[in-house]
Amino acid sequence: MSAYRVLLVALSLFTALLLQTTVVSRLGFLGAQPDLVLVVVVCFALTDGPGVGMVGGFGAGLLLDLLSDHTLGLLALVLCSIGYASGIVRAYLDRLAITTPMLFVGAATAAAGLSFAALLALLGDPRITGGTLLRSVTLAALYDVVLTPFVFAAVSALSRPRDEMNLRVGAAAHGDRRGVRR
Amino acid sequence: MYRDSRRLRLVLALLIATSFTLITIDYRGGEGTSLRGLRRGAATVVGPVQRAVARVVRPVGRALSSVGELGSLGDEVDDLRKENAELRTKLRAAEDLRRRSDELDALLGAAGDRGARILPATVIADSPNNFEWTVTLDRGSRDGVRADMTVITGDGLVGRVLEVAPYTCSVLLAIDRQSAVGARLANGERGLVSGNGLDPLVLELREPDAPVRPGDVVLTSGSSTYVGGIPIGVAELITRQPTLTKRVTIKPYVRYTALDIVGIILTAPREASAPAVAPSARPTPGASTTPATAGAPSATPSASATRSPIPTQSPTPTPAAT
Repeated sequence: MSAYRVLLVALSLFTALLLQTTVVSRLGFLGAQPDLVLVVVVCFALTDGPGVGMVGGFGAGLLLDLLSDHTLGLLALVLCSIGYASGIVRAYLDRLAITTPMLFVGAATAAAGLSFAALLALLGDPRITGGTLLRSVTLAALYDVVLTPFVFAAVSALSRPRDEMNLRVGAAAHGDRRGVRR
Repeated sequence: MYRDSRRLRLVLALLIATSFTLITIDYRGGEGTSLRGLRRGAATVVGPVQRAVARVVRPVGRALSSVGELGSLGDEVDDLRKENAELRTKLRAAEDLRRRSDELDALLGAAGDRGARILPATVIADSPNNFEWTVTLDRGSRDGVRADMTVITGDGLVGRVLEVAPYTCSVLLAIDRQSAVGARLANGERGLVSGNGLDPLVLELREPDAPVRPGDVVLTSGSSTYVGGIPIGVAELITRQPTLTKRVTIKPYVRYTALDIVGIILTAPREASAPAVAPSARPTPGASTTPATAGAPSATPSASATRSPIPTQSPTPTPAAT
């Protein structure tokens, strides 16, 4: 993992966060908005492994927490776990079909939405109610799945060419390119 | 390989522990912690970038959502369709410009000559999740914005300022579930308007037998945080609660999902709490309770016993209500 790669992942996540707050949140249909940051975190976890997934998820989540009104650290915890889990599960798959990232993102959005809501409810936040929660989680998962092919293509294009080999072998799961050779 | 995955788990444990620490500190500490400074720091750094990005990107988003609202045109030839969409986007962009200038006019007009100082601001970001209803504005402490200032549009109440950074500030919208606004009807009945997300706002009236009808205007009462006399919305559905309060759903004047230009009230107008639509005639309390209690007489004795019938604050139904 080179410094260049770290910078690239960080910049991609920051761009996603900026777009999320300024435009994507504006395009919410039927009371739910897609979660671009989560999609990017999951895509990086799939291409670069659980290490990048969890650190990227933690960083992006923390910045989202700082820019929001809820208790600090909630999204950092949720996105960190999601990034790690996506990278770990991906290691058990031999090849990455075009639908794999979509499945991952769909499941991740549902898991993230429900766990974030559960944590908020545990802390006594009045913003969570059953009806709106189910609707918004379902819709968000749907939107995220639709976004995934484009985001995944962009994230893959950002990866260096020799990463493609790693993708096929599935060794990318260790977050460290040298793991392939061992 | 084993060593690698062990280190991975160590880092994961570290990050999760950090998250829990942050959650605990922020949850316990509330207002006074240094984490608040951390939030302001993040807003100070990210705010200007958001401003710059929003300037480029939000017009595109507005145009996109406008085209989306128009919907598909059916079975048209592809070329024609493409051209149509292009023209429509251009038209919408022009309309958007005109609407923005109209909004600005309305806003400045709303300030009137009552000595209010209103700072126009543009929404540059919305809440990035589905549960919170906040927006970020392109004005901050450098422009004189302070926490808890009231935010309006030419139509009515938007919310109040939450956090202030040097160049940006965040606003809690009235439809957020954590928002509670002191409100009153034009006839002086008081209550609390709470947000309900995308579901309608709810007004809980203090008096269970207060006269209220669908179509009544609901204004801010100007009790603590909010400037008084700002229209919130129109009463729609009225239901009686078992807890001796009256629950009224409100159709807000402001479209909270399409906010663009808003105004921050820096200085409240003089005589703001005096309603512009105040009824002149004030009937006695006994006369005014008659129409409202007709629905559920059983609740009346205990309710009228608990309140003190001060003549000046008695319910004063408009001629339409009686």
